[in-house]
Amino acid sequence: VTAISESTTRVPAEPPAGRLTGLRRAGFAAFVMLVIQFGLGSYVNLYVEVPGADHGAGLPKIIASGPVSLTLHAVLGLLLVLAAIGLLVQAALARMAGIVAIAAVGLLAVAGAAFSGVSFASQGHDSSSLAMVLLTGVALLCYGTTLFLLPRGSRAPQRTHR
Amino acid sequence: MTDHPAPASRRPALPRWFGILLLAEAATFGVASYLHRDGHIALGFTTVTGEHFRGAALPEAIIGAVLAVAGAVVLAVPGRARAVAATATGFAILGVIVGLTVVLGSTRFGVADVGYHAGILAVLLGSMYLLGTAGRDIRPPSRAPRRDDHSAMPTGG
Repeated sequence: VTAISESTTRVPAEPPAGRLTGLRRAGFAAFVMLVIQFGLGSYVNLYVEVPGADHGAGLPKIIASGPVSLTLHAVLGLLLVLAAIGLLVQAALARMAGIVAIAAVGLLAVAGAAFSGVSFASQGHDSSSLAMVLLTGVALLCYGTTLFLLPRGSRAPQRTHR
Repeated sequence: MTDHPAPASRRPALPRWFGILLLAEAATFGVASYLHRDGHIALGFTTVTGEHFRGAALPEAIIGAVLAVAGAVVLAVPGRARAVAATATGFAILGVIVGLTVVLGSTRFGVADVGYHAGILAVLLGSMYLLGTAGRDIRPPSRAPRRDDHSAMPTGG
C-alpha cells in the first residue's frame, strides 16, 4: 500500500468543529431572538399605546418610561445588537469570510431596525415602522443564510467495519 | 514528547499591516476624542475646531485605547492576536453603533458627525472581513484516508 500524495489538491482548511458549533449556536440564537422580537414588535404595534414621547427621545428614556412590553422590545433589541456583533466576531475567528460578510449585513440590518424603532417610538412615523419590519426581514434572511451555509463538520468521521 | 507543527499551521499569524490598520483606526478615535475636548487641529489651509462634548470624548478615548492595544498585540505576537483583534474590533463596532444612535437621535449633530460614524463603521466592518480572510491557511483535504498508518487499520476481513 502506498501513501497518498498530499501535494496535488489543496483546499481552504475548515475551522475546528468546536468553532463551527459555536458559530451555528450563535447564528441560531440570533435567528430565534429575531423571531421573538418580530412577534413582540407586532404585539406592541397593535395593542400597546406608545407614549407620545418628546421629539428626539433616546433609547434610555424609552426603556425607562415606556410600557413593559415596549421596554422588553427595546431591551431585546439591544441584546440582538450584541448577539449580531458576537456572531460577527465568531465568524472572523473561524476565518470564514463569506459568513463574516453575511453577518456584517445582518448586523447593519439589526442596527438599522434599532434606529428605526427608536425613531418610531419618538416620532411615530409609519415609515419608521415599515423600515423596522423590512430590516428585520433582511436580518432574518442573513442569519437563515448563515445557518444554511455553515458546513456540518461538527461530527467526527466514523469508520465503517465490515 | 514530539513537537507537531500542526498547531502553528492552524493558527497562521496575522499580517503586520493589520496591526497598523488597527493603530490607524485607534488614531482616528484619538483625534475625535481630542476634538471633543475643545481641541483644535491646524492643517495649514484651515483649522479644525472641536467642541466640548465630554460624553463622547471618554468613550472615544476608551475605544481608541482598546484598538491601540489590539494593534500593538498584533504587531508583537501576530500568531496569537486574532482573538484580541476580533474582540477589539467588535467592541469598537458596538461603540460606533451606540454613537450613531446618539448622533442620529439628535438635531445637534451635523453631516460631519454622521459621516465619521458611518465611515469608521464601514472601515471596522471591513477590518472584520479582512480578519476573516487574513492569514488563511491552506491544508490538504482532510477526507483522504491515511493509508500509511497500518496500525490503525482493522486487521480482520
